[in-house]
This record gives sequence, C-alpha cells and structure tokens, in this order.
Amino acid sequence: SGNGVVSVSSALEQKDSSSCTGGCVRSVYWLNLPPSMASLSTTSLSFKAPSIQSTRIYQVISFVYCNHHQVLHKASSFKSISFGRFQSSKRLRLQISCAAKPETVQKVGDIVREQLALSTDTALTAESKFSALGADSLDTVEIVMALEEKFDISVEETDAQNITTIQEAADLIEDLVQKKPAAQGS
Amino acid sequence: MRISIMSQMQRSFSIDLPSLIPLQLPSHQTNKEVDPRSLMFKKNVYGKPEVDWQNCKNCNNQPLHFNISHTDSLIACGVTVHVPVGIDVEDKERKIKHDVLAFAKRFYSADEVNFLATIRDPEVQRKDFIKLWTLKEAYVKALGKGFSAAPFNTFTIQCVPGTEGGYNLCKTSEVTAHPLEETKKCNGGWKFALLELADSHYAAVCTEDDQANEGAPMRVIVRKTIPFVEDQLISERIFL
Repeated sequence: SGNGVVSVSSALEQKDSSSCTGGCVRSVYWLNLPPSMASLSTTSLSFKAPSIQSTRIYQVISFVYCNHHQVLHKASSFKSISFGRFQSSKRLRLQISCAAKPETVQKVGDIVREQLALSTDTALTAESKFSALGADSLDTVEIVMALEEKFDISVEETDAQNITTIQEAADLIEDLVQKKPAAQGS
Repeated sequence: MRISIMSQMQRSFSIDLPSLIPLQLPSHQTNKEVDPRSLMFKKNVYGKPEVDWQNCKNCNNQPLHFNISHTDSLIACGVTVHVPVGIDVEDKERKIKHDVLAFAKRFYSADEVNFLATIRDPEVQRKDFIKLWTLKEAYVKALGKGFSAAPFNTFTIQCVPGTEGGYNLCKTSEVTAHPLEETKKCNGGWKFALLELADSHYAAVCTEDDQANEGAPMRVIVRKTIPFVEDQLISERIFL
C-alpha cells in the first residue's frame, strides 16, 4: 500500500504450536517474503494472525530468508521483534530488517582481524563477539572508526559503544549506507 | 577502596566474582563478617553487575559495590563500601592505530582535545590519551547507566594542579547566555584516582563522593590476588 505497509495475511502458515512453561503459548509462524519484497529493509509489515488475544504481550523471533541468499538468519543475529500489548486490532506490526549482506560481514571481519591483530587461524563468524576476540572498549571504538573510514559513514557514539558482534556492526553499516542521501558505492 | 589484580591470565577465562572479593571484607553496620562465597550477583537495569542484597532493609544504600575491568593480561576488581565505583585498566604500551588527536576530536571533549594538542612528544601524548580514556571509562562505569547516559564529549576530566594522580570532572553544559561559551560545572560529586598496576597498566578509579564524607580524599588499597588463596598488599595511597 502507499504508506509502505504490506499485508501478507495469506502467506502466514502456522507450523508448530506448543505450550511453554509459565502458561505462555508459543506458536511458530513461517513467513516467506516473496522476492519482490527483498528490498524492504525498514518497512513495517502487518499481518493478521489467528488466535491472538489482545491482552497478551507477544514477542516474535523471526527466521527469514533474505535476498535469495538462502541463508537462515538466526534470532541471535537478527533484530528480534517485540511489541507490547495491542488494544483493539488484531494486526501485528513488525519491523523487519534484513541482516547484512555476506560481503559486508566479510569486510567487517577483515577490519576486526586487523585491529585486533588476530592470527589467520582465528575463526571469525558473523556471531563472533568482539569481547570474546579480546577486544576491550577502546578496540571497539577503533574498529568503528576504521569502519567509518572504509564505508564512508558516520556512527553515533552510543551506537559505536553498543556494537558487540560482527553481525551487529555489519547491520548498522548497511543501515547507515542505505540512509545516505545519494547512493555511493563503497 | 580495594583493588585486586590478577596478572598473566590467558584470554579465555571466566571470572568467578566472589573469588575476587577480598578474603576478609570489612564489617559493615551489623558488625559481622560476610563470607564472600555467600554473595549473590545480579545486573542492574542497564546491565552493570552488582551485588544482590536479598535481605537488605535499605537497598538504596548498598553496603558493598564493585566494578571489574580487564585486559589481555590483567583483571582488576575495585571494591568500595557504600559508594558506587567504576574502574578501567589499559595496557600502558597499547598502540592506538588511529591518529591520537583525530581520535580525541571524534570522541573527547573540546577541552581534552586542546589539552592533548599541547603535548608535543607523541609518546607522552599517546600515554595521556590512554590515561584520559581510562578515567572517562571509569566514570561511565561508576555511573552504571550505560554509555548513552554520559557521552564522552559531554564531560571533561582534567588534572588537579599540584596533585599527582588527582583528577576532577567537569560537565559541559550548552545551556548558557552566551551561545559560544560552554559553562562548565566542576564541582565534586565524583572522585578520581589514576594508578599504575604491575608496572604495565594504567588503572583509573572513580567513586561517588560520599555525602557523609564530602570532599574527603580517596584512600586506595591495592592488593594482588590469587583467588581463594591469598591477598598480597601492594600499596596504600591517599589521592587528594
């Protein structure tokens, strides 16, 4: 629709439903975004889900195939989506950001490797935590400065200090690159 | 306050918090010794680790505070009674990959950049940059409200003239009658100390000024710890 909201009620399939401890009900919905939606990185998505009680608080952790990469992005590397109580409507509003492209993750990894002087044996994955690689707060800030130079972006100080994994850095970079006024190649 | 240091640790370790608390805690109001192994821990709403006093009557005034910092080769734990504490350690020889002044301009306050810019020897400049980094980190950690509560460029830490290792905090305020001037509030509220540990590290300590003893100097006791085995007194010093 014109305001950037897409309804995909028919695309929602319920895969699994189970109770978890504490009386909560967990339902797993599988949502395949069609290829034409691959470019939606910050658009909100609303859909109808059956059996939603308006007084409950819901938290949604999504698994998404993004951009034909056929990569399953796990919740830990994906911005988890949570939303509070909603009153009357049964529409749930989500913000889905596709996780960063593998090339970006790779470039971030290279910069991290250089800043922390890691040996080539040290395995780096998107989930690698800076602190686990031996980075302290000063290293994190230096990494962010190097990323700013590499990608020609500007990172807010509080964002800089809150990045903890390679994936988070890559996601933030792609977010900032996309927001730049004129598209510039990196 | 007490700082315990453990040196020569390998990179992958997990810190057992009770093991860093000195073997004999000072007795507090109830005049009982507390067994460190009985302590429980939790995180505050911003993620700062704290002692969980489950049976305390007045939890706004916690008897014991601590904060931890580490590098590749050293872990430091600062412990205080009644006042919040923040501690940060860095290797003295740590190289900064970026130009020190460019780094400072990006993150530090204008006054701090000016201070660093006046230092001609690049080695001294690098060391002072690191000292400032540890002091600023120690303050943010003492505050315990996350980095967004005190962005680095909103406060200045400067040497107190005539003291060795004494610093104070000035907060810059942009609300002023003269738009080009920033008013600075350099009143107390927080105390700082900068020390060298194990000849290899700078350690900055920040504690909140105790209302009962406002303006009293900070007494810092440094011990080297082998967890659960021994504490070795290294130094005791007063920071004015």
